[in-house]
Amino acid sequence: MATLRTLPNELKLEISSYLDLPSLLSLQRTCRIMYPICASQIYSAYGLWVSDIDWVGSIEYGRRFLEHTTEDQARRALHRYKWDYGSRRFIYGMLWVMGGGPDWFINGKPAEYLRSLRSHVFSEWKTGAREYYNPGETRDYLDTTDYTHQNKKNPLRDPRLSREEERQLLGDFIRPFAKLRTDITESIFAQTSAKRIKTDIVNDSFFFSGMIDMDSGGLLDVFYKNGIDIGNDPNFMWLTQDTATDETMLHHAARWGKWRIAKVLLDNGVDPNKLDSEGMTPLNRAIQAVDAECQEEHKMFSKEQKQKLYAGKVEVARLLIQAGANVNGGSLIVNQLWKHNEQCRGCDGWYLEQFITMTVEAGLEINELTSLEGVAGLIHYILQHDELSPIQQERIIRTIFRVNPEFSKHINDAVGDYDMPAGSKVTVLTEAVRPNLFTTTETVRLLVQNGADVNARDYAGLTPLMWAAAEKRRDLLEIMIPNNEELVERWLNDADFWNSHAKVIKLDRYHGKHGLRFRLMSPGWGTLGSAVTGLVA
Amino acid sequence: MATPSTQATVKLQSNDNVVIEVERAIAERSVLIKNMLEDCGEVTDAIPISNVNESILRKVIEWCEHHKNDPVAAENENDDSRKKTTDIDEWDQKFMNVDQEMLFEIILAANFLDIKPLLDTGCKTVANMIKGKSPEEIRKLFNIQNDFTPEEEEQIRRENEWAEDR
Repeated sequence: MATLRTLPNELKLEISSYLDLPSLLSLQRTCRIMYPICASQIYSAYGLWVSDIDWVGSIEYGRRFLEHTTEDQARRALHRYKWDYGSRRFIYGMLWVMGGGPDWFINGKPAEYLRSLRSHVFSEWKTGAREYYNPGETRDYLDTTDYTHQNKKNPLRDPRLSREEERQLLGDFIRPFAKLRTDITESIFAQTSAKRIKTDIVNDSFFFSGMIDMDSGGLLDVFYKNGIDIGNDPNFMWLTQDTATDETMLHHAARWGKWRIAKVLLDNGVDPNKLDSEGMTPLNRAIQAVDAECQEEHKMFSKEQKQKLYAGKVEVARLLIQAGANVNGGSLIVNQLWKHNEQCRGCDGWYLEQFITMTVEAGLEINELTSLEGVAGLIHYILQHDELSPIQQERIIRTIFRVNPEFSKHINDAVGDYDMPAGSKVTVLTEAVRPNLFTTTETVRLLVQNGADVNARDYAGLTPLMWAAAEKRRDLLEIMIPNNEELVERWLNDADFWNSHAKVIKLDRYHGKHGLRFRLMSPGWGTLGSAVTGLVA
Repeated sequence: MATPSTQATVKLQSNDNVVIEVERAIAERSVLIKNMLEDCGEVTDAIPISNVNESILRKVIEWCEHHKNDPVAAENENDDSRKKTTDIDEWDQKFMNVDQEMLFEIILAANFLDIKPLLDTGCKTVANMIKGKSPEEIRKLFNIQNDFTPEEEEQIRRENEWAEDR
């Protein structure tokens, strides 16, 4: 005979999933069989409340939970849903309650802001409490970077608000949270001893690692204040994503762009040059991880998430360099940048510019020993990178020569042309004046000023002057042949001749991110090479 | 493509050996039978439904007949589906107005035959019976023996104090 008791457990669970909390609590108390089934539903229901838009209700239940629960039970609640997304929100909600309480929430400023930002907040909350709770990551909400030349919009902008109003609003909104996080940790420390916390952390990783993961760094600060050197203590290795790779917490922060965490760690003397098992420094991770993300991005990340991630990484890299990270240690950064070009399509030029600029300024060694064929190779790469705008290219190249004028010695090194057979070599000036519509006039001037040879032949036998003439680029010719108007005119008169020769080299048109580009395609330049030999500027 | 359903009816045999002939479309409300027919093509013999007796089987078929034109619910359940409504439509309420044993048998049969909407309706019905009742009332209703010791009862009470309505 079928009864409620004899139903299979999965069906009992199914039935209980339709119950509200009071009914679950009643059913749980009826008999031993029902107890565990209902218990899991109760926590699950609680997780929903916390994450639900019914904020006030969540807070109220959270407060009650905390007032009445035993330590043991709280622990069990946390353990039970260790890996479950909903219960993570449960925990975050609980922490929230611990820090503020309903009065703070209902009567304080957040309620007011919540009303105006409700839809943002809710969608954020839905996509991941972690991001929402990480005030560190809100930095790029308030980012002053000018994205306008990239036609970017701040994803969280409310179009009705002015930039200033928005910043005010978000700033005020976020600030209490930032404070709150530290409050929470401090109150945890106040309730127990540092030693106890340490044991807890080692035994019960999720609770704190979850917090640290979403933490702004304030939490780590509390650890240091209480005498736990969390950055160097081997007990805390698990705090990184993968214990198998020997990553330090700093590697982890670099990889995920957690710049505030990185800041606290570095301020407390964590070694910025430690290698992980793959021989990577944290700086390597900050730069390299972009690769991994680029490949994953199409699957995993929204554009906004990507922006946050990259902005965080750039900041971590900056902090690392400030703290004395060796840009020439670990894995070769030049190689990483190069790899980035090969592997990444569609990530943002701004980040790349930051990485190149700051590593070059920090004394990045660029020489023939790197696979990038030295400085010429690096410039070549910069000129060819789809994601870098012409202005960005110019800025980076300017930085390179400003940092080390010695680099101009190598400006006429011919390097392999992209996508062409091995041995097809061009100089960077050729690359710059070739009709790719992609280089600013000032970039060409910069190269010429640094000693680029205007008569250097490429593998087709053409020189930068010939290329410029073929395109009737008076501006470029004037830069390459200064103070000689007559010679410029002569080159321009022969423009059609050079054009017909240049056209032998077939140009493949394609649309790059910043406009129409050309790419040299045909290997049929061999005969032309000999045909134009003997023509001198 | 599966062969077009030339077969208009199928025979189902309950565990007390009664053969019931039903329209194929109706029988296919059961995912179990649907899959079986797809796998085997023409089935002329009666399909044995070993876990279900005649009266329950007829009851289930009655439900399937009434709901034969319902759209098949989308399979993908989203994660937050825990927030379930317990609304049941009027016909189903009447249909489920049976004694408890029959109700649980229907749930078991729906589970066995894989008729998700019927299973949901059954579970909702039971949930509605439980709602708003004290533990003692629930025990009485479903004839459940209280097997907790007083200490255990006290412990559970303390555990859940936080969630009690006060």
